[in-house]
Amino acid sequence: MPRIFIKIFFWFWLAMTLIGIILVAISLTTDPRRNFMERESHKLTSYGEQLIRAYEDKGEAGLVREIDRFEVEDGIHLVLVDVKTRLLSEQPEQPFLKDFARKALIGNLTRSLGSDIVRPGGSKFETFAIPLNKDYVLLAEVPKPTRQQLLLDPQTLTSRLVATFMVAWLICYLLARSISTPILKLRRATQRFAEGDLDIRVTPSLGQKKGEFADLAKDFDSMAERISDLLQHQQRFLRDISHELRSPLARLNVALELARQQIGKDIAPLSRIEQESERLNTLVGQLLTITRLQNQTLIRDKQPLDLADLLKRIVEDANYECQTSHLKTRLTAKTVGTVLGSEELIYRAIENVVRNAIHYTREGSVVDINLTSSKDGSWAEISVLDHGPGVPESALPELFRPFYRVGESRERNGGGTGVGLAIAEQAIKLHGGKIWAENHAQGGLIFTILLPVEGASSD
Amino acid sequence: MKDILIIDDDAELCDLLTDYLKAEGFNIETCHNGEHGAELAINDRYDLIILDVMLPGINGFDVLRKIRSCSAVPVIMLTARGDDIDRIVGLELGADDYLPKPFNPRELVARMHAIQRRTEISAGPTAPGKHDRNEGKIIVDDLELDPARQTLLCKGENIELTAVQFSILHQLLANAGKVVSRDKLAEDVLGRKLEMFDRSIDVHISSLRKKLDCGSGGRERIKSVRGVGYQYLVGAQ
Repeated sequence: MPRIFIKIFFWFWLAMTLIGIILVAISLTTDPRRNFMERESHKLTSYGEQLIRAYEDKGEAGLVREIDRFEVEDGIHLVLVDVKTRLLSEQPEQPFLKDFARKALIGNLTRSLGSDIVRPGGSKFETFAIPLNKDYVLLAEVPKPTRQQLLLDPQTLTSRLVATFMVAWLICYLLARSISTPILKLRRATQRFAEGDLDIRVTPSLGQKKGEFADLAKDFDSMAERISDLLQHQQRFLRDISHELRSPLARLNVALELARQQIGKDIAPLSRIEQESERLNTLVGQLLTITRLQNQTLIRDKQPLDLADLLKRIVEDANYECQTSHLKTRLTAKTVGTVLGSEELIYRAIENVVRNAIHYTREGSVVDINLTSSKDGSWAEISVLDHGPGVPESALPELFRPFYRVGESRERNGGGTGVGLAIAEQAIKLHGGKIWAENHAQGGLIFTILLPVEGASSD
Repeated sequence: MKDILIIDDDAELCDLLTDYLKAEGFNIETCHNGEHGAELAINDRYDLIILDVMLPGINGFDVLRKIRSCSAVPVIMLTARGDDIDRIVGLELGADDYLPKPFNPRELVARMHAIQRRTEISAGPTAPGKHDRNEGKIIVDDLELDPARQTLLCKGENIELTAVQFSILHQLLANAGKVVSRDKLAEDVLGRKLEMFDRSIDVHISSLRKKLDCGSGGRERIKSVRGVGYQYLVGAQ
């Protein structure tokens, strides 16, 4: 049978049984009727004192009035007896009451005598004889408490509730904790694993525990082991591929220079070979970058970025490169909050978007780059607008797929490997930001990049 | 700077490089195995080692570690392009410079010349025809730097530095108290311009700081000036 079943079953069973036992013990050790009598005699004593005051102040008439009042208000029959065993309030004198009163006075007995008295029709009443002081005894008939009143007696009820509460609390707490602790540990480990900490394992933190959770922890650990193995293999595989692809390229480069050396001058086809080899090399590099970014979940060297300065550098670079093609890149920057991140990754990401825009904008037009803060200040917003042909709406989300090309109009004509936007997207996502493309109302394509501002409460 | 050892498992590349570099006037020996390469580098006297990171058996970093445990011979590492971790690890382990593979052999020759020039300048009087402004020791606080013998004494105790670390410290001490820009350091010491996000100089400086830890009592010797460069702080400055 599963351990967790036994555990839950046993603890619940234990809780119920314990509560039952304690309730029985409480009802055996306490007597609700006794509590009732005690409370009543306390109340009656104070009534008795009022009667004495009434009698001494106003004589018998006053006494009778008071007694009538209690009878009407509380349904209690009262008889005040003087020490000389003279009944003061009930006429005609009843001998058994005198006798009872005397006994009560002599033995200074109160409650225990109560039930000895049998009166015609008195089964619904409890009878009391309460000595008030040297001179008086109060005889009283009080309606008997109903079963419900006895059950709801505040004293017994409180102790029952408290006992139930305590036992249930303790056992439920222990049970819940024994279930939730390993789950929380497992959850934390899973989160850390998802964040990229591939070395995290759960079993050591659970100690010597056995059962389903320990099994689950073991399963988690072996899964983590397997995934990190796979990732390592993949990384190694990628490195091997890059090495294998680059070895021929390295040889090609040296052979090329050897050829130049031996010819003694540079000829155009050699430059072309060099250019293509460089292009191939860039592509291999970018492919490696994007795979690395896809696997990466943490940024190692986060630092505060000066976005305005970063954009300025990108624009300067772009303008320098575009001198011949009558293009211009224009920057408008407002101050934004601090963005934390890897300067290199953000630089490359924005640079790729800007290069893309330069590539597709009309000859002689301007690429507009705009840095501003979102309305609530929680995002830094960078937009890059070109004056090119734009892309069909349906192709917009596809732009960030590696090697995606939109039809004939955006055919590649030199420059760009087709991976730039994919790298940009991965890098921005890695920083918790967003990037998307839209067709601008006045024509051209506009890319928007949002980067979270540090310390601002983002929704 | 004549005798060069190339440690790279790509035999064909080694052959091509040998042909190319011989025409440039270098003596080349090649080795395709890390263990053997490390032995050669330690036992024979080479002027420069060109070391590939990806090697079968023990990798380039281990080879570099072995070499550095007993020799300060200049080492240029060939790394996979774009892998900045490789770059930084190599520099931290004491490589003098790196070149991402695939590289342009002209670039390799340029870097070899840069290192050659540097060792000759540092060697001062032993290199004929050099200016004597580099001659003589530089003494700043408890440091005593002797360019002629390529030695550094800290409180009289010898500290082993690689050629690049030595040159950087030389520059900083020669300008002690002044800020030397990263770009100037790169040009003077590595013989090239720094590319964007190239942290070579910073890694060398950080290795230098660790080695100069002696007797400084926690005092900062080399101060970073953000966005500009580095400054050697003199005395109580």
